[in-house]
Amino acid sequence: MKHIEQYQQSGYTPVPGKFVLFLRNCVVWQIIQFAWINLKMTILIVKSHH
Amino acid sequence: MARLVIMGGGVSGHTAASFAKKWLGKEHEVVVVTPNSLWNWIPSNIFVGVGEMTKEDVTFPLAPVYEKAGIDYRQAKAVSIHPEGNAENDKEYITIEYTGQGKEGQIETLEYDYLINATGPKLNFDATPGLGDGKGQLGKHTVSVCTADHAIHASLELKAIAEKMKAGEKKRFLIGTGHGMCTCQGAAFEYIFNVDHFLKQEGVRDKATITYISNEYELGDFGVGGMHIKAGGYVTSGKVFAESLYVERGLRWIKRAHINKVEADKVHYETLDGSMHEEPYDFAMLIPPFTGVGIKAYAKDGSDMTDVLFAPNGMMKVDADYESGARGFENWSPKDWPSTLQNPTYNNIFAVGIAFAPPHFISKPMQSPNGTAINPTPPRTGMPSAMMGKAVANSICDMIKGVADKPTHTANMSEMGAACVASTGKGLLNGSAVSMTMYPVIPDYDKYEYGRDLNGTFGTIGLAGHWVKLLLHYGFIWKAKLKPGWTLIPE
Repeated sequence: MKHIEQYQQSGYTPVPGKFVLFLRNCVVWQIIQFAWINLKMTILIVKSHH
Repeated sequence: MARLVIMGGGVSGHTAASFAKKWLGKEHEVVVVTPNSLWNWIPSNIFVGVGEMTKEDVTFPLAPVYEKAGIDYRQAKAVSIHPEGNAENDKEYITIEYTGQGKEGQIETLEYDYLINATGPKLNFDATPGLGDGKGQLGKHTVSVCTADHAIHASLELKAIAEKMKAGEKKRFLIGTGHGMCTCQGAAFEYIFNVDHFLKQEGVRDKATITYISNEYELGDFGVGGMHIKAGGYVTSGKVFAESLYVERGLRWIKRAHINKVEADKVHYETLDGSMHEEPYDFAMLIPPFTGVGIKAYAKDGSDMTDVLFAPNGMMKVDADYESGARGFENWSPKDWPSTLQNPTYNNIFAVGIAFAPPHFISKPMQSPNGTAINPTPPRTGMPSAMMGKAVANSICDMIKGVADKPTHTANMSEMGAACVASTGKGLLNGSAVSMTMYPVIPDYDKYEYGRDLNGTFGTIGLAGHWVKLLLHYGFIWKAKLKPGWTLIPE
């Protein structure tokens, strides 16, 4: 699909490159990300309870 | 023996009831009044709406869960609150009208010592002509994913249109907010990505034009005034993050829009600059605005005192600073937001989740030159509403046990975070998701340069978020069923 349309909405927006797209589906990297997201959310939950 | 009555059995009400019963034990009564026989994990309705989950995957019957927990369950809707009793009796009570349990239509009174309003919203489809059926229900032109049954209908319509596309027809999809004062943009945000994914799976994406229409000033506002995140060495606006997601998927968007009329094949909308437009569609999922469910309140002499307990939008007044709205956006403060969620007039009444009246918007109020308000209203769903339910249950339990005579726990949205995971796909290796967190929900520009803690506010895209979403789905349903270890799963 063509993403860049000059003078249209899509012409002014960053889109991911090949490496970023690879990382999004790289299982090893995503396992690390999974742990990271869970850690972030856990900290968020702990900070939110009063 | 004290009796705690909870009106509403959704995320916040069910959380409050479950913890209150656990902490109060058999010495005190916990009663849940909810018109629904099923508990619904609403975030997963999105997957029902594209046929990836069934109604049974996202709901379960409440009665056996409450029976096992020792919670008195009344399948009924709350009709009125009598916080001073009546002429014959000083005892506080509510009136309820049964919707099930073989007592449909019967009216009963239910006395209480403490009352939690967790009714959630009324889905106000009729606020936009054509979006509703004129009787308060979803109209015939569009679909919704607000309830599991709505989502099933959406899925059937989606499948039918995909069949036509397989025969070569081109179709236009319109997904977003159906009114200028909607909240819950996150649901539309997640649904549009799932529709895009569904059409790709069906091999007909090239025959679809998919458009997002929103009352947000910019994409990524989400009713919380947007957010900033760290990405690629920059601190960047969530607008850039959101727009990138849309462009990557070939989705177009219309922002700052108030849909003022829905017809069979097009919507009419006004934008913030005052101009009027039309957008044609073949399939539309438009979120309705929310109001309170319409519970009335009566004084001891029987006079109507609804305006004492409720704000004009039908949401219940709590310990927020309701004068702050008039001070203007520039003067709003996190201190305006409620902490204990206790009603200022009756200290044995509380409201949680969508049922409490916010002091004002979070996003900046906007009006078109025609006087039309076009801005998102504050979200109070999901994680924050569950936290409110638990905090209020904790406070009430302490008050019942005599530990304190005022609330001991707080759940202020300016001191709590929220997480949103918008996921597409099914299975462990073919999904993707946008994971976002923010802390705090209410921005604090005195404390944080960008209004929020950049360490607690982030967004990421990938398979891991999809795993998190699956974990949340199964984890929260396990927790809601009060299965072993349910208290270990956080809100």
